[in-house]
Amino acid sequence: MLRFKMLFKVTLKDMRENMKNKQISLVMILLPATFTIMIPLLLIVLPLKLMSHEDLLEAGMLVPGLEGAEAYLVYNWNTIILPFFVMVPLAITMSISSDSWAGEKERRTAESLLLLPLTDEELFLAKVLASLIPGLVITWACGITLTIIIDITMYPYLGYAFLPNASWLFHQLVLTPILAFFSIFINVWISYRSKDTKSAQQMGGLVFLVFIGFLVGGFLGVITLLTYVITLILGIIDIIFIYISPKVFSRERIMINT
Amino acid sequence: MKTVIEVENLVKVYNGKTSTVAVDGISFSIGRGRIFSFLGPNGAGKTTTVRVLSCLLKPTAGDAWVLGNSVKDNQVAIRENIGMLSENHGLYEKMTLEDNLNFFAGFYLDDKRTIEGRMAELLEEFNLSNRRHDKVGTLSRGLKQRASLIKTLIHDPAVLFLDEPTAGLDPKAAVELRKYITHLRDKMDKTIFICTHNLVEAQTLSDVAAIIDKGKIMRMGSPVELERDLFQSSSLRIESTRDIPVEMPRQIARELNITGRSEGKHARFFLPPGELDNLVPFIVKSLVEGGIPILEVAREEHTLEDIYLELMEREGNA
Repeated sequence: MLRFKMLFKVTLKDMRENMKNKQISLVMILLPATFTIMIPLLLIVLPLKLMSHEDLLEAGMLVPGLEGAEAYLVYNWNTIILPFFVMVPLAITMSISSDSWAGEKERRTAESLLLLPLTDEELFLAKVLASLIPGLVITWACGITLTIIIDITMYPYLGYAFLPNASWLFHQLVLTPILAFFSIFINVWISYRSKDTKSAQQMGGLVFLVFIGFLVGGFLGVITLLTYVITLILGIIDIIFIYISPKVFSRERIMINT
Repeated sequence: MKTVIEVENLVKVYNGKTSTVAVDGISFSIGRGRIFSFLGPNGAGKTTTVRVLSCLLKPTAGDAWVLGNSVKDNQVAIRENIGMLSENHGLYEKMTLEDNLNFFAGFYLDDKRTIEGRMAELLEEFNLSNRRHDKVGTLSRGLKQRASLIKTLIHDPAVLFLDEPTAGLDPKAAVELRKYITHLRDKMDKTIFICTHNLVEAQTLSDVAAIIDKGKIMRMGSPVELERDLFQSSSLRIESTRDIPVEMPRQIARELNITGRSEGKHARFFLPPGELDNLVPFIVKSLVEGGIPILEVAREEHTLEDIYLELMEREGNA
């Protein structure tokens, strides 16, 4: 039986510490600002403002069946905004979770933490939650911000609110938690086996292969299909991780690596 | 006396590229309210033993019980009742001392007022009340060591594992800490397991001491018992006005089939019982003939240091 009240003390401690960590704070501020404000404004809103009537007609050829600004928005949404937005949960959870155990080892506090009267499962879950909670909260806050920005700036062109639509809701409510879990499990696991945060981050960067996949899918015009396929694959991997990780996690491994 | 720690044929092997036997079949037990010192050189297996007893490492073979709970399957129950002071202070440097203590205490004590009371009492005891709102990173090494001890004691554990407790403390603070450790045993009935290189510390504090080397316990008992067991002999201390070459006492000792060593301007010999009168003249004569002026010849009690060095020397010769 997991004692959430106890394990949440470790989660809260980690979250407070992460707020004071300059590197993590920077990722938590700059990345959302870039992908939710800068990129949509620079790649969609600003070019649309500068486009002539002819340009808009030409843009209509980007997506069959759509016209003008709507076609331009849908094309850029699928090829740039959505794939890049995948970076938000991946990067935030990576920067936090790669520090989870490696940071404790680096700061020589791992032993104190391992001595606490928590089970291995509770300790592992506490570390996962310390990355998952800020990862999801920030990603969802970014999602809401992006929705507002797109709707406010595009309403004059479209005459309706583009977001939220079904695929965006799926992206936010299903894909984002699955991506966050995936990134956290991979990075907590790497962090658990690494001696310091730097080497954990180098290895943990592997999760960005998922982003590359989305980017390629966007350009090939199969983003929707790809979203479902990746959700399914990563979802299965997450379930395996959820089942295996707490069982394989051992204090001894951390002590020997410290 | 109720047994608090019991270790039975404990083995710990680290499996890496090569297997290393860190603890090799040790057994001992420690009663409630006793101070047990573990002495040994680096890599002897002291810290590994403590880590197994505090459930940070799993035993490869054998078993150990702390307050009746096996380290194999009652880890949480053990961790709830122990406090450990290790070589790293283990505090979060970017958090204040108060936040650190609140964090650690929160896993053992529910009531905020109990935590506050306990914290205030310990901060006062260790003269850190005026630093409670400071970040731990701003404290000196000695103060961090004291802060770490408060963290170890905050939940009033029944068993304490202290790994080099006075390392990093100035002499005055070290003496005060030793007094406090004795107080914990005498007044609060704590069972205390100390790993130390400091032989004076072990001698001053221990009810029982064990000397460990290469994962095996070489001798164990009270300092008095160890002396009796190891030296059925007298210790002879000879003082000179100048340094005594290292080889000279050894050479003399070899001729007499005893043990002897040089300690700067002193030489020390361990003589079999009843041989004092026969051997002293020969030793003194040999030193004088070797050009060593003699200032004083005295019979001495053995210290734990003698016992330790003697054992290490025997082990080295073995």
